[in-house]
Amino acid sequence: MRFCSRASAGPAARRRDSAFSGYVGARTDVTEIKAAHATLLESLALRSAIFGSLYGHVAALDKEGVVAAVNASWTEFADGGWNTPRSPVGANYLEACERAGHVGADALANAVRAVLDGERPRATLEYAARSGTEERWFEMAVEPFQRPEGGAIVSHVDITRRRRAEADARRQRDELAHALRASTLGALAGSLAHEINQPLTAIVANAQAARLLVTYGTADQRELREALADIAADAKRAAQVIRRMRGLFRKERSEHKRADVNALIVEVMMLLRGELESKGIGVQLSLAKDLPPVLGDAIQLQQVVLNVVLNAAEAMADRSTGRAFLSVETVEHHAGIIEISVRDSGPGVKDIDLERIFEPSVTTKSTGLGMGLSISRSILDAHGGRMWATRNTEHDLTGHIELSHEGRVRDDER
Amino acid sequence: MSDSMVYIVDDNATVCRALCRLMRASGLGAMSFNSAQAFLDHRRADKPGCLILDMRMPGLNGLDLQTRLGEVQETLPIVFITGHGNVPASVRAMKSGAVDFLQKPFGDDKLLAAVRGALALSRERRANWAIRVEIERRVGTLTPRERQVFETVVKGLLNKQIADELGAAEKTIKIHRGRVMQKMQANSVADLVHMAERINLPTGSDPQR
Repeated sequence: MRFCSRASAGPAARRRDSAFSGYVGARTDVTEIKAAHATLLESLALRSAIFGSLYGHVAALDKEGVVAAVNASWTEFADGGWNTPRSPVGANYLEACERAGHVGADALANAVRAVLDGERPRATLEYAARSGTEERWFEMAVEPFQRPEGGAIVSHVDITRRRRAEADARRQRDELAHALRASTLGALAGSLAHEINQPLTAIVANAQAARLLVTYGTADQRELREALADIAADAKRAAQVIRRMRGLFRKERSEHKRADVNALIVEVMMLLRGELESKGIGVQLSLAKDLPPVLGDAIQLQQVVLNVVLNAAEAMADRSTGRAFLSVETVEHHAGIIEISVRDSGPGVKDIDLERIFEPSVTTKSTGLGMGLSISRSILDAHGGRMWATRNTEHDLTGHIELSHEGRVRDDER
Repeated sequence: MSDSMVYIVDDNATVCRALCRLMRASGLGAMSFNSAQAFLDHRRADKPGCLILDMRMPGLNGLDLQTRLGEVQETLPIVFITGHGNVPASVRAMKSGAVDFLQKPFGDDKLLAAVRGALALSRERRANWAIRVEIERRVGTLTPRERQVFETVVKGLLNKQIADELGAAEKTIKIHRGRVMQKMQANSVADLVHMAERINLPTGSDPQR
């Protein structure tokens, strides 16, 4: 067995007559100390290897937020001219964040402080950083040190690729939604033109009548006033049709705001009035009073309602007998959920799985791309809502749309 | 009270009101209906008139109403108005005798011009109708033999030919012919032929004969 010892020698020992008598010494067994030292070295090496190998930028902070150790990526990033700090060892990271002043920098400092102070068990946060014209997205994670002195490990991982992929997917969905809106409006062009031509016809006739009344001096003031009032009302009516149409046609970045579900249903039904009338379809609206607003993109939500109503209308167009009617209802469910249901009296979707009608390119109609319901569903996904269909009897079908009224909106949709 | 009546059939209330107002301002009698059925249910006054008819309406549409009116020999001229021009529908409407086909919104004077034309046509049709009724009344006074003579005279046959065809003496035919002229209040054979044409009898002037 091997062991390590340490010899130590004291001063020389002398007898009373000052004659040298030898040294006093000790021999100590240091085996355990040696082993502990080796373990420490190994642990330090391991720590530095782990630190160094991390893809993210990692720093250890003490309780005050002063940087105690950093890895190589942290230091490299610090030299890249980015507007978000990677403080060197010895500097206070919290103060550096507060000084940085970029969008979300305060939130970074607050999240780190909350973990250091023990208010939160851990924190994660996504933010954008800039260097010149380049933008990168990071996710910061803060993990507390489980030791009496406190402190935390902060890491920043580059998530730019994921963010871009998400943004691409969102943009593609928005573009597809817009293209489908445009094609839907194209299909409605005939009935919308009719909707605009009616008031225009009345305006021209009224104006001509007014002119005749004035010219021949037969104008009874009341008749003339009525003609002019009708002209104003009709002009407004035509303008409303155009406003509604333009509203749906607009191409904007998807924006989540407070939206009144009832109001957007009314808008859609007004837009479709001519189309439904020409198909001989009666409409019944029963809208719940005092519905709380939902958070969402009003145009896209209108598109969903439009698709479901048009789908129901088209399903009914194939029917040969009976009265065609459509009822649209809104209900507020207890758990903060608003449900829109569209019930038709159509022949329904025969011999097909009701889930499959929401898949792209599954269409039971003789015309149509079969994309309407699929895009509707993906719009609802982005709104934290859902949609499905149920069969009522053998003929009629109900389309359901559910939205939560606090509208789980993603914080990155800025 | 106006001597003519313009009937307006359109499901859009504001269009009805405006067109009514325009017709009245032009000194014409006007009345509007919001559906084809409401118009059919109305008992119309016996005076010249025309119909301004919307092509597209829920229920019975404009073309359906035109067909129904055709079935009952209605002579009311029709001016069609439509929100969106549809070529086959307009062709069908014109073939079935519509006087005009206007696309909404129509220019200032187009409708009034069309309506005036339609009313003139209505007066003419009514006058023709009255003449025809009178001629038929006169034909009704002829005996069977006289009627045979009338039908052959207007084909341009001479007395001798008529006598051969009917198996009677030329002298007897002369007498019948005189009575026909008298009863039909005709001054000449040409007059008689003209009347026969009015009630669609085959005549000698008919190029097919």
